Amino acid sequence: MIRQLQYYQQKICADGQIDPTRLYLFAQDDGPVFCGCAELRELSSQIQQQLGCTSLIIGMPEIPYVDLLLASLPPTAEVAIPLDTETRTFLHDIPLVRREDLALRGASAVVDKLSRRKGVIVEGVGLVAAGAMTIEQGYVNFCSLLHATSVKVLLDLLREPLPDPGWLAGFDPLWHQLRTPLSTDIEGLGPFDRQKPDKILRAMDTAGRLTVELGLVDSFFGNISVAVDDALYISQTGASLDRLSGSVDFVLNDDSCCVGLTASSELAAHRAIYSTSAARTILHGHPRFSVIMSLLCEEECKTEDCWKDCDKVRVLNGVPVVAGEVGAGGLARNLPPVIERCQLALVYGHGLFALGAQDFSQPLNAMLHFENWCREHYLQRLSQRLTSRSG
Amino acid sequence: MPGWCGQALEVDLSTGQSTVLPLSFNVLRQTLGGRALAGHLLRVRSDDLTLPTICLATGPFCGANIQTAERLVAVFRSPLTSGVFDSSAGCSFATALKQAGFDALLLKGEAASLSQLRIINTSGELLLAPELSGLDTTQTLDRLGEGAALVIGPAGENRVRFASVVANDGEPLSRGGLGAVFGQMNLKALSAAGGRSFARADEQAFCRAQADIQRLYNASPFLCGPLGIGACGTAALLDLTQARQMLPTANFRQTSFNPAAEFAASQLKKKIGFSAGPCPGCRIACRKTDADGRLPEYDSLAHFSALLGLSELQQVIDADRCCQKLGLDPVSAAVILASYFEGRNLSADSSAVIELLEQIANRRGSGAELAEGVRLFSERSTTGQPAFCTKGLELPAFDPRGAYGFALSLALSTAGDYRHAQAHFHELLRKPVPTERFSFVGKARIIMQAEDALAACDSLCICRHTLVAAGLEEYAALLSALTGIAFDAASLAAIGWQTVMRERWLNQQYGFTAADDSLPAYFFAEEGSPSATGPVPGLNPQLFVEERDRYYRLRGLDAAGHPLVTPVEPL
Repeated sequence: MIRQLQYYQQKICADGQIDPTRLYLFAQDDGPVFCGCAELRELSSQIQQQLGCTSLIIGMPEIPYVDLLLASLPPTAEVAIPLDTETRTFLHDIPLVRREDLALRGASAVVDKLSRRKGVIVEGVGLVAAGAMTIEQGYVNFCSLLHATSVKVLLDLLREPLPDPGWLAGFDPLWHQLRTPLSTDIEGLGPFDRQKPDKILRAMDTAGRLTVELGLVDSFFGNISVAVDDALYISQTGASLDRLSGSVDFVLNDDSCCVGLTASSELAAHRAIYSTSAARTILHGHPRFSVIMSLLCEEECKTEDCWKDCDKVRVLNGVPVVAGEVGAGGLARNLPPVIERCQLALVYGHGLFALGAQDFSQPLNAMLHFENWCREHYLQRLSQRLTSRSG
Repeated sequence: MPGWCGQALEVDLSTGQSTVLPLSFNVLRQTLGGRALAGHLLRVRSDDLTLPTICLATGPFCGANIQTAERLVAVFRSPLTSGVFDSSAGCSFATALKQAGFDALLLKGEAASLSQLRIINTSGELLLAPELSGLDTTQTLDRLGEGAALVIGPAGENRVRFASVVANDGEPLSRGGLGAVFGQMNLKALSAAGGRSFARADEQAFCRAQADIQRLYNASPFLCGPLGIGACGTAALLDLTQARQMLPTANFRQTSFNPAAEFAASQLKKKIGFSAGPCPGCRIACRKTDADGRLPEYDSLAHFSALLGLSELQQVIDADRCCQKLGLDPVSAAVILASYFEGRNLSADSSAVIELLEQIANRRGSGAELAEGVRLFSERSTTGQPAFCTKGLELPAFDPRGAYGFALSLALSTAGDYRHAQAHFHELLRKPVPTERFSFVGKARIIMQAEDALAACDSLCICRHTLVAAGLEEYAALLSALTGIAFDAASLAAIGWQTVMRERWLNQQYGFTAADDSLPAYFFAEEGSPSATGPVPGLNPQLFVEERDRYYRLRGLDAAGHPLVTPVEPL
């Protein structure tokens, strides 16, 4: 168990978004197992005892997302409403625990809220995510929480009143990082012989791993597929994109076999795209700035739940942006009509679907280029806002 | 009180007397309904736990227009396991009972002769029903006419230990032999009707919580995916268990069935053609029907084909329908017939199977010994077949050697029923997260938490399939919105924990020990069928016992599997 904890500790640290000195992982086996910041041990232990969860991850982001988010909300706000689709689907909303409440009630203040949702934001402590069954669950919830929080805060910088400059100083490392584009022209991803399953699986494995390593998706999210004759190979639901070995389903198109019951929840969308395009590969990730820019809609309309109800097709740097819920909710309907023209489509609040004619070099590079454009565009927009304020 | 009627009806079948039992706010808040409430009433209202008693209970969501919530749970002492058993079904009887004004119905005593109980608007009426004697379930339901009803067939009347109770719509209460207890009580039919409606405490929060849950259902490949149970029925599981080398075949001697594709969901669609025949109030619609009625669910489909060896899909459907008509649990029936045919070195053919099912239901010929269930049949048999059961309940269509958490959960379930922990969710379906199926590591804790969650789900009377997508936190939000009382995932899990401990305590009273928390020795000694990586090995007995003992420690049980502290009932 301790090896598992250390594995996820390393993954979180390698991602570079969490302060390693303020990260703590806990799991309950026969006895407690933990690693990370010793100062958080007592709080974690009390939360676990009261909540009875199997795993708990507490971590403070390096960038002051937590402080800025809390500062932007009224002091009486009970929850933050994330706007990204996956979080809206799986977390619903994110409860908040204020510093005063934590001081007054200790772990109970966290437990009260964490017993209602999979993760909470605790002022002065950071993001707290629980896993009922396994440490993987805690990790998945922690990643969702971090993604949702960062997307919301960064989006708000473009459309809400800007915070005091003092707040923004904490973001300098991020701006610095964003000025260096993600490296593109990734090689070694094909073409591969689509008649040879071992070649296909190896290519999927490499592409999945690179997608995670490049920061285009957190490991338990996203999906990938290859079309062959009358079937497709697709990553399984809950698969780690950077550890795909043994987690790929072979799914026949005619539904004559239900083994694909364990395939990604986006199976219907992948199938619909293949049936209406010449694509042979699909890669789906959640690059952060692509997601943020998809949410920055400036059209005037009366739709409230844009992420599922919007029927318009926006265009962002030539790439279509559509809405649609995960699974049986609409992606499979909305993506195929728009994606073939530029082999790339952005789903509102969700992420990018990229197509390849024969390999994964094309979709991965397309995703990288678009994410780089979104990062650059984001910085420009923010810079304009800052300039106009100071002017 | 939104969510509940606040009362139960107790009927003494030996006298025909009905008594309305007020249910306190505290009892309802601490049991919710369904499995927990029924177990609670069974315990506190039984003077003698060995006498036949059945408690049927609905949940707080029933009648509130919530998907999959028109469900009923029956808790009783199983004639197969001799322990406490819970059986759950989606059927309009649940709503009708609640509309008649009751959260639960407690049945005690034995009627002097075959009877029918009618519950209409807060009162019960026991009628003699000699005209229903010997009728099958279809005929009985036809005689009763329109309306919500539960009936038994000849199998129940003849106290076949795996007799079922069939509803006028939705699912039967199949497993554990509830039909035999109805038969012992001389209760042929039960009907209910009423006009009560139910309020919601916070309409806005209710709609929000419903939408949150629906999004999770939509995102679930298992529920709503193109190959999920909504599109293909539970038969979708057959391809998966075959691919994972855990489809029980040839009376559990093999774990792979070469002609499996001939019986898959796609064949049901192609050859038979099916449409949705959902439980009332469910839009997932995993139950499928054709023009002639209900089609077999996964366990029945797999057992009549792979386990028993019927060679045609139509024969499997016929056998399943014969069970429905006679009021037999098709899963138990297929297991016992597989043992019977193997013991005689015979291949199962369709006409012999139908004839034997008739004999079982009427306790005629060979059917008399088969009607006792596989455990007693095996003990009395001279052919030496292992009894493929846990605690006396015939095994489902998942070979325990193919998923260790599943194996352990089957052994630990108080009813011998894999549905108590649904370990195949994470070991096969990868939800909520995938776990390593060929490992016991960490499974004790996972099983305990899943048992608690499912017991809570059974107490809310929500379909167990849905826990693959939504969790207690979503259902807690819905319950809070409906009732106006604050619930969270932890409080629901605590009710689930109490429910399992109550069942453990009841089984202790019935003489259960750690020896009952096991599996047939065969699965530890024998390998399954060869796979790409070699044969599926037998279970490691030492690791199995170590993890079982870890479960005991985590749950607060002693070395015999008994609660260290006697569970306290709410007042």
